Amino acid sequence: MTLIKPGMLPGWLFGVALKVTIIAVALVIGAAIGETRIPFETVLEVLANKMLGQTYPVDAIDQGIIWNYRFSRAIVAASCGAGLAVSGLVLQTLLRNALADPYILGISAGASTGAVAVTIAGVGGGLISLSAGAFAGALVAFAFVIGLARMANGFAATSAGLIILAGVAGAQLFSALTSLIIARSANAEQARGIIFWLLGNLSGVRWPDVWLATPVAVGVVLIIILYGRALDAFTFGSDAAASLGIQVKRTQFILIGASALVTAVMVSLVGAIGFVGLVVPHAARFMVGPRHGRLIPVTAVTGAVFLITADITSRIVIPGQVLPIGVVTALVGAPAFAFILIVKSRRLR
Amino acid sequence: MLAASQLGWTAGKKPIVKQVEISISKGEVFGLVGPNGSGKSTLLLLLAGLRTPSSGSVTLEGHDLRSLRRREIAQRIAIVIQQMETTDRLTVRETVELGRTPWLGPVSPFGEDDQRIVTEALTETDILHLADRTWQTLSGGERQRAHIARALAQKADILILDEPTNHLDIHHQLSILKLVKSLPITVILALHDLNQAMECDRIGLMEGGSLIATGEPVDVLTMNRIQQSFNVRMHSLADQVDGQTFLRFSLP
Ligand SMILES: Nc1ncnc2c1ncn2[C@@H]1O[C@H](COP(=O)(O)OP(=O)(O)O)[C@@H](O)[C@H]1O
Ligand SMILES: [Mg+2]
Repeated sequence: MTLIKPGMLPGWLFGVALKVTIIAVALVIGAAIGETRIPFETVLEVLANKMLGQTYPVDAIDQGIIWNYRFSRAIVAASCGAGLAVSGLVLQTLLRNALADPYILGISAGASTGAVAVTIAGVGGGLISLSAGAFAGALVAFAFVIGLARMANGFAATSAGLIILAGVAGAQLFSALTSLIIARSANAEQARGIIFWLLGNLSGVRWPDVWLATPVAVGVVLIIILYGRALDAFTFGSDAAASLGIQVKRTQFILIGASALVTAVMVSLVGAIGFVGLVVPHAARFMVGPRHGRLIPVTAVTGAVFLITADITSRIVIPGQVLPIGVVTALVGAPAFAFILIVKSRRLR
Repeated sequence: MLAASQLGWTAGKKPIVKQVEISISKGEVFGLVGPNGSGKSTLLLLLAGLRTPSSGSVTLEGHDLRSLRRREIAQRIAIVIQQMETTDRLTVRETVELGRTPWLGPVSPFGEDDQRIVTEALTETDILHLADRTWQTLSGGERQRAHIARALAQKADILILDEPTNHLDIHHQLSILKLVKSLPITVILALHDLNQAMECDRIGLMEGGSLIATGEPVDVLTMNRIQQSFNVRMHSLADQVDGQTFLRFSLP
């Protein structure tokens, strides 16, 4: 095995290699740990069999668990974590609000409403896919929240606290709408399934979900990386960004659209998972500082690893039972966030 | 090179800037004075293309700003507006590096030229020694100088500054003014200190959103106008050391 050392490669390539390695290791760990612990060698052998056409002798049941169940699930968890984390970062930067995140701003709730409206209430008559419904719901919710904040502020620039309050109102409203749709249209069995899904749940995830989650997450992260300089320019507000040559409206439109898209796709696959978009960007800022060129990739990788870890935790913390992953991210995320707040305010004196 | 004709801007129904006619020539230092709320900051935002006129237009060498791309404008016009704050833990150097944004592509790396320009701007504004300090640890005057350095790093040929001497100690007030006068570019700045305004090539006096006078400082800052616009009395005195006149004010 060749070891990659800094200096052997151009800096950026080393960075990319490091990030890919970190995610690969996390995926392997995610595939190895679960109710039945499977040795890492076995996991690597299964992956070699499946991806490199090798023929290691592996127990067929182990192979099935690892490949069909755990590995696909870990990849979706990683995509979801990366996607939600970068969309939280984008919202924090564009709204200049440390508390912004797709969950808190009601975007996830709107996506849930859209998804439920399509699947349960039959909006669109089968012509609209679940993800498209979720995307529409996410955009409507965001427009609602921003509109509410602006109206409350007399159409002037939206203030930081106000937009969070509007987000809380939006999240409540769209959750209520979701409940209303479920109560009106779903039978008891459907309702139980949906409620479990709404809390964030990766247990039904299989390979077809990978083919949706991963391209969307990778695509959105790449688009956002291209806007890294533009995001830096928003540091001192949108007037400052415009004075630095950024097309403010267009940039906001594209980046918020991309964030809503990735949120909607993830919600439609695994439900609304909170705290990833809020906590991970702050953790990444602690590691590499506020410049987006480094911050975006590090946020994506940290989000991926965070959600794989949260998923593992959700599977093993109560033996014989799977906890909704949203519960785990909140249990880890809330204290982490409190810690970040305290340290940050101490540092600022 | 930068001109406004029939320029107006309203907030809701309230007119904030009214029918401003102005033409700034290449290389001049143009000062804008007027009482609080007279519309100076709004006029500067309009001149930089950061507000869309409700009536009239702003033209840069004959081209309406609305027909130019944001990036083209940013390569020509740099502006320091008031109250530009951040909660990001950015260093001073990183802040000044933002000034290079209009000249860089999405993935093009920060080059040696860019580094040199940033260091130059840090030196000119006397904050090179603060380069690695984070934003939150700076005083108001140091932040102001960092913003001016950021605008200088933009290498635009028009520099617009809204009350650049605010928060600055007297030494740095004088050195910023000396610096902007020595630059071979066009400078438009809002000033509160009328004695400092006397040093401009030309000044404009704003009142209630209108530009009520423009011209050489001595012609604009007359006793009557000052009394009316600012509601103060003014005397001009001669300095015993160098014979220059300076203005004193008192309540009527
Ligand atoms: N976006 C806005 N909405 C409403 N009123 C505004 C807005 N911007 C400025 N004003 C008002 O316009 C007037 C002129 O403001 P400004 O241009 O900041 O004046 P100056 O810089 O000369 O003190 C003030 O009365 C201010 O309250
Ligand atoms: Mg002002």
